[in-house]
Amino acid sequence: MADPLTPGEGMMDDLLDDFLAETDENLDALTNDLVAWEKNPGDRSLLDGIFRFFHTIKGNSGFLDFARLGRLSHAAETALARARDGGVEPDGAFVSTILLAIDQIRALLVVLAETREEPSGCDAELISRLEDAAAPHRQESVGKAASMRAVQPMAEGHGLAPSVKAAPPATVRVPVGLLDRLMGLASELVLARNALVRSARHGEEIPNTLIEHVSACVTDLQDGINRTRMQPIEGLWTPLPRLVRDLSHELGKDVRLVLEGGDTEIDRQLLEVIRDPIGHMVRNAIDHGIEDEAARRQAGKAATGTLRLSAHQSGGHILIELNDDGRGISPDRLRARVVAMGLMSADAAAALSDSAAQALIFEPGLSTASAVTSISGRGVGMDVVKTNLERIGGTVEVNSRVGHGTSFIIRVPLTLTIVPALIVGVGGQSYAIAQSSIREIIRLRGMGTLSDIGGRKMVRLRDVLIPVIDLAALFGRPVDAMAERWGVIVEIGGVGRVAMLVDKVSDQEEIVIKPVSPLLARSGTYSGATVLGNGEAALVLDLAGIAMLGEVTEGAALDEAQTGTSGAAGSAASWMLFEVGGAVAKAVPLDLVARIEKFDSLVLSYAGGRWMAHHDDRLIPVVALDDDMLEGRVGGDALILDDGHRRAALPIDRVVDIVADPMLIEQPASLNGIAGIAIVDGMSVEVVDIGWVMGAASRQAASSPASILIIGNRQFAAGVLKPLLESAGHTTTVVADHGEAAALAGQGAVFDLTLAAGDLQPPTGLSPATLYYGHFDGDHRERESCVDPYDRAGLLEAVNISIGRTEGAAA
Amino acid sequence: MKQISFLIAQIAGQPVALDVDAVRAVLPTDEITPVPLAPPMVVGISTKRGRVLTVIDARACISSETFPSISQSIVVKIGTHRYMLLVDAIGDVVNVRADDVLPPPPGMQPSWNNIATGAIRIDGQELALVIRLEHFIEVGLNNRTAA
Repeated sequence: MADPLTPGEGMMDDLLDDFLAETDENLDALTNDLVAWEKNPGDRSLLDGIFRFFHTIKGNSGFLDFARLGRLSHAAETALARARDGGVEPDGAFVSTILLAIDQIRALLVVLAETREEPSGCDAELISRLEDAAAPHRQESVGKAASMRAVQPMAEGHGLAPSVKAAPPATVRVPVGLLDRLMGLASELVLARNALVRSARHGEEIPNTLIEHVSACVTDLQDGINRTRMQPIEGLWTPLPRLVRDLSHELGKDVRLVLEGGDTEIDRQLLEVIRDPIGHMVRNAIDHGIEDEAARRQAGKAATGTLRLSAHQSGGHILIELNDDGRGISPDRLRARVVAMGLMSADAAAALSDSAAQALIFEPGLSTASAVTSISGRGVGMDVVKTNLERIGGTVEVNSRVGHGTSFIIRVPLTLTIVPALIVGVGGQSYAIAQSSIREIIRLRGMGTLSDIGGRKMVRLRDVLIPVIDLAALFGRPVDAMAERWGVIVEIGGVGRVAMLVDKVSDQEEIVIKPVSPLLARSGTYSGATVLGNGEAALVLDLAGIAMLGEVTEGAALDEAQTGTSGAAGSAASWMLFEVGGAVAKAVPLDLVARIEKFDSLVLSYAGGRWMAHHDDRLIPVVALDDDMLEGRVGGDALILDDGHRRAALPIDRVVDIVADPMLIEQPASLNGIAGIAIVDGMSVEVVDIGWVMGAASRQAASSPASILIIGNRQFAAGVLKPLLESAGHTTTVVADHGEAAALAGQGAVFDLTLAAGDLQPPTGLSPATLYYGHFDGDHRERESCVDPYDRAGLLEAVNISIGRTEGAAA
Repeated sequence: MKQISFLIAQIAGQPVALDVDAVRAVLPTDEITPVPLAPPMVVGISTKRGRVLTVIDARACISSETFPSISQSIVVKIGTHRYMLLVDAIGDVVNVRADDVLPPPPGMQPSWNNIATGAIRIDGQELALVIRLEHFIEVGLNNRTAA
């Protein structure tokens, strides 16, 4: 029979776990209490708490038979008791010694958690130091020695000691309320599942309301699960008071640390990723940012420097700001440094704006510290901080005023695992690109539209040449040089903008990223894998890795000299964003929206195979972006679009926003009525194809290919008419005016048809027939030879009729 | 005496025995998405119940010959990742006593070195190599780069 006085083995294990968890939790708080007490030695309650903590450890160590831990905590307790009695002055050296004892206790606990046994060895030196610290007339030299940390604690110092709790499997605390909500959602899903099964069994059509309900439940569930992963950012703040205290002591600076927004919640995985960057930036701020007391006084500032960290949530992001009131970042020194390093010519460096020069601190190898100290300037620079943040879809920017201070703004997404992504096709396969990296999507008509500069394919986008990586070529898939391709312009940390060439842009999806096996990760091409909505497996592209494989390096994008205005064709000043059907918002030019009406207020009639709405005593065609949308539609709004001479009613669910961003208009082949995808505030927006909407009534007839001369404003002719006619199989030549056309005639060129802007009189003899496009106020032209350039179907029909007639005449 | 269960399969003509603890499923191979720029034995990726599996032609880890495609595969867990192994054929589960596991036979083809940790007799007759899955892929990579 077991001795009732000796706890069983299992019980001892539980006790040890409790002891470890409790002590580890208290260590962080204790450290910060100690730092606070140092600043405010008069606060007896702080000191009492610290004293009590060591006393408890001592008691527990005795009970659990940990002699080494017991001796150490006893020595610390004794020293603190002296301070409490007023027998010793609690100066920096004293506090440093106590902090050393805390570090050592933590280190012992880490070993304990792993091996379940107290590590052998002894802390005689540290204990004698604690005794010295408590001695009433200790010598100055002893205090100095203590602050210089000659004793190496077992764990790495600077307050960022590893957590004891790391040993057992990671656990999270979830508020009961949240758990209840998740449970409620799960029950709702069960009910919805039952209804789905019943419908399916009876062969009934599944009602839309049910699908919406399931989708809403899943969204809420996802949100709830995300919340369980959330932790207050406090966890990042905790080690900072100690870190700041140790650094400022070491550097002889006086720094006040202000922490705000610690209750802001962030995904725990992200918390771990940003822990090191934040620590690094705090070190930098104290080492390079904040001046020593003398320099601060000289500059007329308060002797104590202030370092302020604040966190708050903004939309789908967490913003962390780190401000110091130090000397700021000198743009001139950075300019000098890039020139000295041969990264930039002196002229180019001088041409940089101050903020652009300050942003150079994110470039690799540009530490400006004139002396490399033990605290920073160890080769881990801000470039690593930036890269690490970008790896998780975050950004960092710097604002600095020389003499006034520096502020860094870090932006990280709320969660890592579920991200919006663009699904692209390469070589007949789907891949995902994280939406956060995508800046723009452009359409390319064949490889001929690319420039070849220094052996590298580049694409010109608003006066900037962007390096191109052809994913099909990289992946060893056949490339059709004539086919239409898409350039997904991505921003890659440390590289800049790169155009990833893909065959197809299919869709936007929220994807769940799963890690790829090491076997696939080794190629550096994929950062994860996912299962798409259609059940297909797709790889998530590692853009930085692909840039490396494609040998695109830093600064490969070239700014070209500004050559006049180059407004992107088709972009308008303001856009109305709205939702209809799917989750992706759509956009129309605000100028075209004449009115927004309640859909139910429109009187509809079905005539001639199409729906018409009575509006302002006119009959206007109703154009639905989704064919199923009109049937049995109730509620929502309708946009009344007016391009000056035509109207259309576009049913929508609701208006979302009005934005003033320029947008790109391109058309994925798979979607009717959508001209392309643009990125607004990090979200994809489908830009409505106004030409398609306005001309949606009739479909173009098959035509025989013809050669067509287009005369008119080059941007409109080449940007709108040429692609339209070429997509119908015609070949086109664009000239700007009469003179150029006459020159062509001089060369003996002959066309099947001339399409001229309405205000131009084209030369005769170039083609047997001429059509005019544009706005017409007079009736100086035959009505049948005039076409509306926005009415795609009408225009193509008119072209076909003209060609047919001339063909007929020729035959 | 402790019994060990093995799943018998055939890789590149060689009978092998896989510890059933590592085997998650035997599944039909459908819908494999190819992976560009992957090592040669990677056939692609596939999904099963929301998981993404890396599909590996186990035969290509051993031999550089080309093999006919098969309809069944073995899903195994190595570390934290799941792989779908393509093999020539999949046999039965056999139970053997721990002390009936023999040392790897001398004179194995060199490509099996470091993969085979032992051998068992199936029905007291044919010899199947007991293979260590966690080494399989690494060694397979080396075999292929050496070849």
